Amino acid sequence: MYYIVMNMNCEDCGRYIPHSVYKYIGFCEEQGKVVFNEPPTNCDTVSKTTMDSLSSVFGSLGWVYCIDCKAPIFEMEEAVKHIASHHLITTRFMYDSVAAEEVGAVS
Amino acid sequence: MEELRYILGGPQGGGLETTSEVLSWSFAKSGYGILSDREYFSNIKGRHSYVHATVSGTAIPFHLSYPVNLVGAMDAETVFTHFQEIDKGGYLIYNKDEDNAKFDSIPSIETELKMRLNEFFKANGIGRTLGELAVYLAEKRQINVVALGYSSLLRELQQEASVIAAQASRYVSSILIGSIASLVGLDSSSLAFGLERRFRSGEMLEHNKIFSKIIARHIQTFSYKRPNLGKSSLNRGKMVVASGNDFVAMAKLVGGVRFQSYYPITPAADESFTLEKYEKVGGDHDLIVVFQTEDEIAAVTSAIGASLTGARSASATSGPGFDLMTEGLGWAGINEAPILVTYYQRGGPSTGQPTRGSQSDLLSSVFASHGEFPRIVLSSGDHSEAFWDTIDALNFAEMFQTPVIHLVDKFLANSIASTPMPDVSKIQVQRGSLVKKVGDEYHRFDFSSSVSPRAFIGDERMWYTGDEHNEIGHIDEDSENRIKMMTKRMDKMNLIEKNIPEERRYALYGDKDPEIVLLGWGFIKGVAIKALEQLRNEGIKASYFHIRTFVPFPNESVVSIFRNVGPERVVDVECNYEGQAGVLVRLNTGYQLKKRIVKFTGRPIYLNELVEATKRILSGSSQEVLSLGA
Ligand SMILES: [Zn+2]
Repeated sequence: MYYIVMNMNCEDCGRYIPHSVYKYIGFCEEQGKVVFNEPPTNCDTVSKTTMDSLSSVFGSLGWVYCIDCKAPIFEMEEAVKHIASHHLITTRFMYDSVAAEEVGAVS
Repeated sequence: MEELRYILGGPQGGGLETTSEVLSWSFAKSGYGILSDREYFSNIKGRHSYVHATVSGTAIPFHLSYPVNLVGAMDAETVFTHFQEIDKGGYLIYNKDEDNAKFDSIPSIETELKMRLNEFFKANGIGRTLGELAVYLAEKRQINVVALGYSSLLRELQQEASVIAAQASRYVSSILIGSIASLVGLDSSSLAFGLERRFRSGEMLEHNKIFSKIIARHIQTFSYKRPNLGKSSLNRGKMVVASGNDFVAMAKLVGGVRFQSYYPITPAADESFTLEKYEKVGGDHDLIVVFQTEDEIAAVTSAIGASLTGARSASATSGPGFDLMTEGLGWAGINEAPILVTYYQRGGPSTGQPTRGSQSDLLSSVFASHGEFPRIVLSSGDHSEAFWDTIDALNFAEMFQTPVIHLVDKFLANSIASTPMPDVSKIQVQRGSLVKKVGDEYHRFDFSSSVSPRAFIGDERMWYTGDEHNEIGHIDEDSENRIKMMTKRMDKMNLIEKNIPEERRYALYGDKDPEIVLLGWGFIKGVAIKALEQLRNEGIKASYFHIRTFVPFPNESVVSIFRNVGPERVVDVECNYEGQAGVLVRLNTGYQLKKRIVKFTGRPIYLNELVEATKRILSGSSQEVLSLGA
């Protein structure tokens, strides 16, 4: 098993569901509440993202999303590059009931 | 300070709308005038967007200018994009948690900006991080840097109250609202009004009130001199704080529109969305039917259909949609169907710059559709004009039984302004010539007048076709009939010329004996009028000629301007490449505008650049292309 991230905080945890725009805001599945990318000092439930899990995501979903780049990624090699640049990769987004009010309808 | 200028920036979808609205309402409530323009990318979510505003306690502002006194940043990209726009002694509010962010590793910053930043950082010996930039701004630019840890503020709120998970981004808005309110010293009741108007009631409102206090405590730890806007001296009575889209929507409601059709398109759709809130079909209190059609061909034809049944009808669109409407426009022309098309101008051609402003659809509105038929083309310069022009446009359509095109630019449509409440008791609904008595011999296109008395479908027998027709509406290609029918229709232009007086077609501001005359239209109005004031302070006598109707055109007044000051001293000011109003000046009067100031980046013309460009024209330049704005 290969750990991608050494310095762990919420962003690096598999149980952290990030907000689609602000990566420091997310939902912690473990605690069942919003967290603001807290350092892991008082958290012993950090679950590390692994290369294995990334490859299984590409095997099933076929995509991940980079919060930093605001773009979907369809190739595993590409995703690895984003991770290496400390970008936040996810396949889940924190539910945002008000986003639509903030994004002007563009057509 | 006479006015406070600020920029609020953040990722689209990150709460900027809320921040801007709450602050606009709060400033207005505490007696200030405000104009707030939104600039956003068409890529939608996550891309950088910003709001640029002017707040004044001495006059209701209708201009934007650089540099600004304050930049409120929701993210690092905003700081990198706008730090050079902050005036000396101004303020920067930003998230110090992002101090390690480097501009060249923010993917959403465009390559061109990265290159410009690279040069700037190198030349000034600044490292590439946000933190280093903040230090530079504080030390070298005398900017008051308000560095807040957004995550820790949010955690503090979570401990004191709680945070609604599904609305977490709202609280980022609250950080900027709270810190600006605290810095500027907005009174708490005005801030509460702004928050209540946005959040109505409930938890989110309570959280925001608590959060404002937490943020104020942090702001108090900064010992900077506060920006002093002074008490407002405006005595304004009741004010409306709304976007241009909403002013047009309000005018359509009180101006008697009963049918509005649309296909969603930026920046027009917001008008129809507002109208939909008032839609009620069935019962005794029907107000308006708003019909979202499958495209703009159906939008214009359904408005025509509704008009033939007697409903006051309108549609709203922008360039690409208007292109689809052009055949329908001709159908309305040949059938003398009164309709109003509110035409919101964005950057073209094609999809162009959907979320950016422009004044490049003037010629399209004047010449669109084949064949010859009368039309009226109006254009509005500010929110109040947009309201009253809508009322006039509706009346003109029915008085002359012809399509009316009302031009509004995106700058006006999407900017929020505080404007005195229109006196609705002054509204007159004029439905034009209607059939009084029912009879067998109804001729819809009666030759006795160029505006034949109108009956509605269902009340009389009548025929409509896209072909040339006779008095009752049947297809008729006889030469004599064609001459009579064309003459009857086209003669409306004489009627329009007679009935829309010269003084309704333009407005003139500024010095009576000017060295230079700026000629413009649409949203140029506000910035041009303010520029006159600045030029006067610098000893330059200038005036602004504002065109309000393009068909009919203010021929006499334009000619007299050229005669009085000479063609060399009239400057065409427009947000397009060609100087389209200049083309119409030449077409209508024969005078050629020899100097011009144009901007076609999609951003509005700012006060400082207009003043500078005007001075360069006075020193001999014949063309200035403006470029300011992120
Ligand atoms: Zn990335």
